Amino acid sequence: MRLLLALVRGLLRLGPARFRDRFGASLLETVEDGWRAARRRGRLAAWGFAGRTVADLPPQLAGAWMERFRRTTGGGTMAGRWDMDLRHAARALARRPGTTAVAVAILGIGVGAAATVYAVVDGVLLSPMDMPGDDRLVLAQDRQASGGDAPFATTGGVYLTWRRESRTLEGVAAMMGWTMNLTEPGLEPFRLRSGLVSANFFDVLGVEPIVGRTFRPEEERGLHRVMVLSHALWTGRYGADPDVVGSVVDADGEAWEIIGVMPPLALPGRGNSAALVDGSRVRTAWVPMNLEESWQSGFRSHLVLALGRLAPGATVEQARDELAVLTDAVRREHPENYTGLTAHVTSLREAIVGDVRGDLLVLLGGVLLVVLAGCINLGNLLLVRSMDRSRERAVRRALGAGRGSLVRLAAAESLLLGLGGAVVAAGVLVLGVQALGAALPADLPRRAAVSLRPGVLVLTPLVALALGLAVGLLPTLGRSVGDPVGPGSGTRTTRGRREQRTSRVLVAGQVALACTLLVGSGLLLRSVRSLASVDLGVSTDRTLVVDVLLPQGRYGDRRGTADFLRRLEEGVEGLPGALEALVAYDPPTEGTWTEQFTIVGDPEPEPGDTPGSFYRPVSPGWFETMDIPVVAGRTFTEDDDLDGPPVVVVNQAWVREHMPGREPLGARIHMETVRNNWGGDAPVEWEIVGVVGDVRFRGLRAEPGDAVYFSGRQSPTTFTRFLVRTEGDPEALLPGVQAVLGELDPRLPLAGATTLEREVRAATAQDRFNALLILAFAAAALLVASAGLYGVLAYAVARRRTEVGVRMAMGAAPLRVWRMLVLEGLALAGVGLAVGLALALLTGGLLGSVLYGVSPRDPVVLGTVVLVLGGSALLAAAVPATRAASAHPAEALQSD
Amino acid sequence: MDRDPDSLLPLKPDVLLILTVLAEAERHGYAILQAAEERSGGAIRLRPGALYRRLGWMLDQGLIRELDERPAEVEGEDRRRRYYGVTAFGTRVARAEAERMARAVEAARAVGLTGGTP
Repeated sequence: MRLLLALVRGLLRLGPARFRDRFGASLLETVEDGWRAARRRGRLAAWGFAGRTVADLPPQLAGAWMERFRRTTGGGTMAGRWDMDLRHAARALARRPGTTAVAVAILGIGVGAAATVYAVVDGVLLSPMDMPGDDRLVLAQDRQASGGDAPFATTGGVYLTWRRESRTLEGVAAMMGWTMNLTEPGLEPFRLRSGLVSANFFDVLGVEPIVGRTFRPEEERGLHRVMVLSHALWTGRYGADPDVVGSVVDADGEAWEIIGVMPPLALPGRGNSAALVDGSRVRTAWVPMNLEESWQSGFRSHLVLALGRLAPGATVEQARDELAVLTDAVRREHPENYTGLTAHVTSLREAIVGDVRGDLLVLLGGVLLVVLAGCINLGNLLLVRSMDRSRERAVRRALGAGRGSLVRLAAAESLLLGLGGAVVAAGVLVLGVQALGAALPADLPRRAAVSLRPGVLVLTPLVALALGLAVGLLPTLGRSVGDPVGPGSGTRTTRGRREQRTSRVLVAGQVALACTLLVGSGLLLRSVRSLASVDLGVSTDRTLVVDVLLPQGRYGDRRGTADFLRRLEEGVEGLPGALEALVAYDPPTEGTWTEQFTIVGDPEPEPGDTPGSFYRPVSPGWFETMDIPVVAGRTFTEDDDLDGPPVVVVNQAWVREHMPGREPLGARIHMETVRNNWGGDAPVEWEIVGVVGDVRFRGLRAEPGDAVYFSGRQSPTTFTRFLVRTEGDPEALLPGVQAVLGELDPRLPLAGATTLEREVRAATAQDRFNALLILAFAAAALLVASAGLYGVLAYAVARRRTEVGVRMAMGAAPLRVWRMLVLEGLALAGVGLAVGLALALLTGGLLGSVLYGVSPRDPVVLGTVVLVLGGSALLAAAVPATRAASAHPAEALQSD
Repeated sequence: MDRDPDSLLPLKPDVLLILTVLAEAERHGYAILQAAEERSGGAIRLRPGALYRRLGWMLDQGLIRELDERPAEVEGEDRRRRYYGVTAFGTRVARAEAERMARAVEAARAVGLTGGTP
């Protein structure tokens, strides 16, 4: 808050004194009140308040200035004088088209770019979600009490405890990711990613259906097959027909009644993450959870996302404490499942955008630095101009012009510059949001909320105008009324010393900012490069990935399902262009299924300490096709089927973690997954027959996970990713795969396809986007700083032409003169560089969270930046120096 | 004050809103912001900077005045706070504006531009 108040106080200084004296104290107090009130609603609300308050001040102060001028000069003649001043200013600007264009461009591009990034940050982080009272929604999860790992989904049992006992939450809803195959006569089969939700789900969210109704409490008992459609599913599949409500559809071979349709809203939930589902675009549906199923209401399966609505007056912290106490009680009853776990409560928005906040704030920081550099440069340009015109000003004062008229003249010029900047800024903003909208990574949360809001569009040109006015007026207002510079007083070499010094400080400041930005962008670029060169441990080229979901029970038992999958593989391998077809639960680049196990013969672990590992069922041939090296033992063959002994293959990370220093081959692990899934005679003890290399399936930034591979012939899964290694373009094979699938089972939808390469590329999309953007900022800052350096040096050289002429007339070698001037420029740049590097080292830590494989003090990046900036400085200094040194002494002496 | 209230019409929406909330009760700066937001159902959100510029104009025009004494019920609050109230002239201007708007709504309704009783 202190920063906010300081900012407001600083801005107030730019306003007319009368306004400041009259209302300054009250205004600060009101801002303080407002901040306190907003702070109680959360940090985001407080930031929003601060941003809006600060953004609103410049236009208000400009307005106050206008009112003041209107008051001090009589209305009628005022318009005439302004008209004259504006004409005069326009002529003055037109006389130097280059400087004017640069000033307008810097202002416009700087503010426009900043506004563009703000529009993204605003859409993703600040604007409210499209849900009533969304600030009161929280996400409740489980986490390890010892901290460390990320929070994860809770169990149905704990959810029900929270729902029953919580007082800080007035409602708690549950949601689980669920998938169904919709098959209806006359319609394409469709794989529906739906949500299993508690009956109160929509009540807690506070959303009403637009047609029909939502769920009733008794429908949580598994007796009612009822379904609520998302708006996109309703319009896309059923032609927005209201009569579809009440009709019955076939999903997974069972009859479900459609009871309602939701409005096009962003709603939480997809799979087991809190990501928002954009209900206007994503075809989804919700069905009631079934409390009779132990995996939905017991204490074992962590599948439930709990969404709560805070009771009036309750805070997130209070809810966190209360749910932790409730979880403690559960732990006493179920130590085997809840030892070491506690509750984790965050606001829903925090959960959704938390991951990208760091990235977006880095971008915002970068763009603010660019705007700052632009403003400094603009101020510098105008300062140099005002030095040029000090004689003109002195003449005017001598002729009796009051200070007001001088200020007015400067204001007229700044106003014109500001107007030009405003037009450019609005253009940059409109184009920028469009371009950025197309370039935003598809998985950016709440991406749909990014749009050009009218407020931003109106405010942007105003900010540009206000900045232009402020920066333009500062040099004039800063000059004391009793400025002793009279006509002809002082010589040209001594005049304006102070301005020159100011101007040098400004140039050094620009170099420093450019340096900081360049270091930042260099680090991000290196980070992208090291991410791109991470060894995944697997070959990803020419591989088609297709999602297939087999309805539970459609092909009978374990044997039937395994047979179906083998026939699918064989069918696809028969296609021309297909080399190998494989079935797995996760593609090699993802890991989403973990299971607990014990090593047979080892002492029984303490409750809560049972080790877990990634569970990866794959087809025989998986390791060979994916180029995963075999370290010891063997891999799966077609003989590892239901008739063979139960075997597994583990990876090196698994051995390191669970059997360090021991021989894994021949050891047996106890794992009940397959029996849980298939029941009956499925084995629970599995022998380790091979050890394979690690694969980074937990993401590029994470260490490879520990994995137990199962043969798909022994433990098939009904949710499968189907991978095809191809000779040529993988996507060309898609129609063939579809045909094979249709032939085997026409009711089976093909649920989306991609290539393995594209999946890997998508994983670095955000990083590449950041680096590109920051690089663009840095390039802009470098340009601005070089232009500033050039401008100041050119000006300094021009001022010293007489001196240079005298020196050369006295016999100084042109080279010496040249060196003197260039060294002066380099010294200036050197100071800026030193400050900038120090700044970059200090702020490097802030980038740490988004960097990968590169230290914030990377010598290559720092060295490159020094070279680039030094080179630009050399160029910027050499041009005017060469011009001065090559002039004939007589010419130089006469130039004044 | 015998100025013609019509000379200031039409009022800016936020000026009328500030007059309304001050006619209801005498308030200090932040309280005006809060009441204005509530009164307008969130439609008008004044920022502190805009508020004080408006207050300045309204003081100059004699629509409102700064109170010498603060309302009784807030005794004990921070002494520095400045409270504002509506002047008699301000009341007349607000009334004139409200009537002007009522006439406009009436005219619009007559040609079916707005809902209401059929």
